Amino acid sequence: MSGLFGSLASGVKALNAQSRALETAGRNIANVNNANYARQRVLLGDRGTVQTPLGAQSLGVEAKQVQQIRDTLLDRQAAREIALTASLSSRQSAYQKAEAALGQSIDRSASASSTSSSTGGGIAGALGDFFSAFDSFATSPTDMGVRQTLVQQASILTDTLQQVDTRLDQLQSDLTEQLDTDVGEVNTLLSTIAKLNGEIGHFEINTPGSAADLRDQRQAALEKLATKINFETRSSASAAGQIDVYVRDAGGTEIPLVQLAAVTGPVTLTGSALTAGSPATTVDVTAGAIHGNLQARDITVQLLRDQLDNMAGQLVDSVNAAYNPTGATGDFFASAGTTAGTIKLQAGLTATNLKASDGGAAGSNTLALAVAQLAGKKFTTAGGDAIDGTFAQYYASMVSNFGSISARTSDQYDDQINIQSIVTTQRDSVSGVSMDEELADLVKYQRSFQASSRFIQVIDELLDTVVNRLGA
Amino acid sequence: MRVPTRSTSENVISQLQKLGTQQAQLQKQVSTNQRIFLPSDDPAAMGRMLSIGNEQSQILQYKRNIDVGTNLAQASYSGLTGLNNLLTRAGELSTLGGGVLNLESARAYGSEVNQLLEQAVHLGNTRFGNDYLFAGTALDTAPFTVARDGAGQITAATYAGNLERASIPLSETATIAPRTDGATNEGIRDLINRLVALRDALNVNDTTTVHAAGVGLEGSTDTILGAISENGAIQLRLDVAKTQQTSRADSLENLASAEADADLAGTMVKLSQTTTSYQAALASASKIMNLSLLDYLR
Repeated sequence: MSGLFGSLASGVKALNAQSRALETAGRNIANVNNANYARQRVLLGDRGTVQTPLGAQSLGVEAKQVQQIRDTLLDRQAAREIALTASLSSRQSAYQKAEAALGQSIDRSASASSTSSSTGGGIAGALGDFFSAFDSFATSPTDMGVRQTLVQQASILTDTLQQVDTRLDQLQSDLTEQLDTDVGEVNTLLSTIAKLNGEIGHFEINTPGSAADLRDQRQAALEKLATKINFETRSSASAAGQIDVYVRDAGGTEIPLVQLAAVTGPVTLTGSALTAGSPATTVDVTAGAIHGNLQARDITVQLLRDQLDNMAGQLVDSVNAAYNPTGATGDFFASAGTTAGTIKLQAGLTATNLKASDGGAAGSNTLALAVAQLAGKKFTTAGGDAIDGTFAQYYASMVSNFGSISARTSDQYDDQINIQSIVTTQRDSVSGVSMDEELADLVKYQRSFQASSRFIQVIDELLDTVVNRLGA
Repeated sequence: MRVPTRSTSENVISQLQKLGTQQAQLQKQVSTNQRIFLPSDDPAAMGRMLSIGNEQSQILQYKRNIDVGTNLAQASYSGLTGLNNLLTRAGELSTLGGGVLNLESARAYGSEVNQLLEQAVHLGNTRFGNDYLFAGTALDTAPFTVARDGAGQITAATYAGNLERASIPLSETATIAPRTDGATNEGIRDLINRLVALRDALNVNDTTTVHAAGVGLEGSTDTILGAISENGAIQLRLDVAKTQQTSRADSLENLASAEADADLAGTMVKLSQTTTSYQAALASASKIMNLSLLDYLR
């Protein structure tokens, strides 16, 4: 067809197309700091071709679709790395708290005063002071001050053990609370994802991939879900644009969490297991904050508490055995409290009724010596004891073992942060908004808009000539 | 590779955080001159530090034990030398008394021996702190009880202590008994009783008995001198043990220092490297983040 009116029409179409492109550039710029946003591009295309006497002619340009630039592979990889990072991060933070709860630190400035050792505080110090007090007691069994000190040091030791145990117990219940919150959040996120799935399906019936903002939101929800738990996704077989979210059990069998617009498997925390689906199946949790917190609560912190209990139990048993060899003259520690949380002195034990010997003369120190010598006694689990090595060795190896777990987790976390940053950088290099690029686009489309306007003006002038000047 | 605007600022932030953490850690090391603080800083070193710390506190305790032992040994020594001096004088008096014919002079010697006798009982019941020194382990009762006649004169002494000897720990393996043994304590009782015999013999000017008592006192002198030389050996052992523990404490302190102290020079160099990197990161970041096409478009 063509002709002046036709040209006018295609000029207007061009203006439309350029303004859509400008608008998209503006939206990209507006979202430059939105981490969940994937940059968008307007796909310009031909409106169609018609056959004219001059040959095939274009009907002009039009904005065909606003396309979102995403790499689904990188998106998935990012979610996996986020899950691993979250697991390590929650473990690292739990271990730092446990380290604080343990209260075992080195303060060399304190040792400069030469009246205490390099590792003054904590259980190590209390344990050392306890046996030292027995040494003093053996040396001066009639000295009331020494007796008072011994009772004080023993109370400090039991208090310290109890405090550390209480703090670790508190940490475990904090972690449980955190886990409950996380599980609640997972279920909320699953329903968000299901809802977005439904909306995307609804909006994209005719134009797949067009619900860009909803897809951004869904990806954001998936990444948030990844901070809690590991999962897998795939495009739904039955509806394009929608995804299935699923986890696996220990045997590798899938447990669907979200299918189309429905949450098929809300998750529940039962003891130390996370279950989902019906019938409830235990999920193989390998990453995410839930994994990290479970590991910290049920393995590492629990191990610390178990080891403290072993030490407390051995302490109560062996001190009582040395202090009360006949079993008839009264224990030092209450025999009922054999864990770190329950250890306490025998009721009624005072500086006055402390025994240095079993009914011997005032200066006899056989029992006190026997207890003092326990400091150097090597226990073996093979020999039926609760601990290996001396008390100090057992505690040192326990602290050092925990320290290496904590240090290894920190190292892994640092590595993982690097890996995650590589993946997110790769993804951002595809999906992220570059201000300079958008500004260049802005100039480009502004100029084409101006040029198209100029074209319309020219056609207008031509029409003016034709309409107003001809035959005047 | 495309570099989106957000990546630039994200990278800058994470790099600054990393450098900031490093800088803070190094600064802490420099300012405290300490390399490790928490178990996770260096788990193996922390384990060794706990063992070292435990050993250090044990050594401190052993040194306190040695001090107590030394004090006890020194107190025993002064008691024993007091007894020895007294014995020397009693020996002289027995020699003098053995030759005297005059009852008056003999009685004068006898009353001096009586004074020595009181002194001996007093020395035997020496207390150190609240504890009796020469009582075995029966520290809470006076070891030498005496019977007196109507005139208030001592007639016999009995030993109320026991024959035990308490040991105190000097190290993980060694113990020492700083007090006198049961035989010495009983020897002191015998000494007192011999002095009683000497006094009584002098009072009646019985030269034969005086002579016999003098011989008996020589036996006591042997006992006391034996105890004094044993005491010397004990003090020597205590001294050696103290020196040993002190040098152990010194070498442990060196070990602890090697484990936990920061290498100041190295740490300072690392700190200034990190500070330089930090400055560079700040300078480059402010340059890059200020660059925008916006500034060149009109």
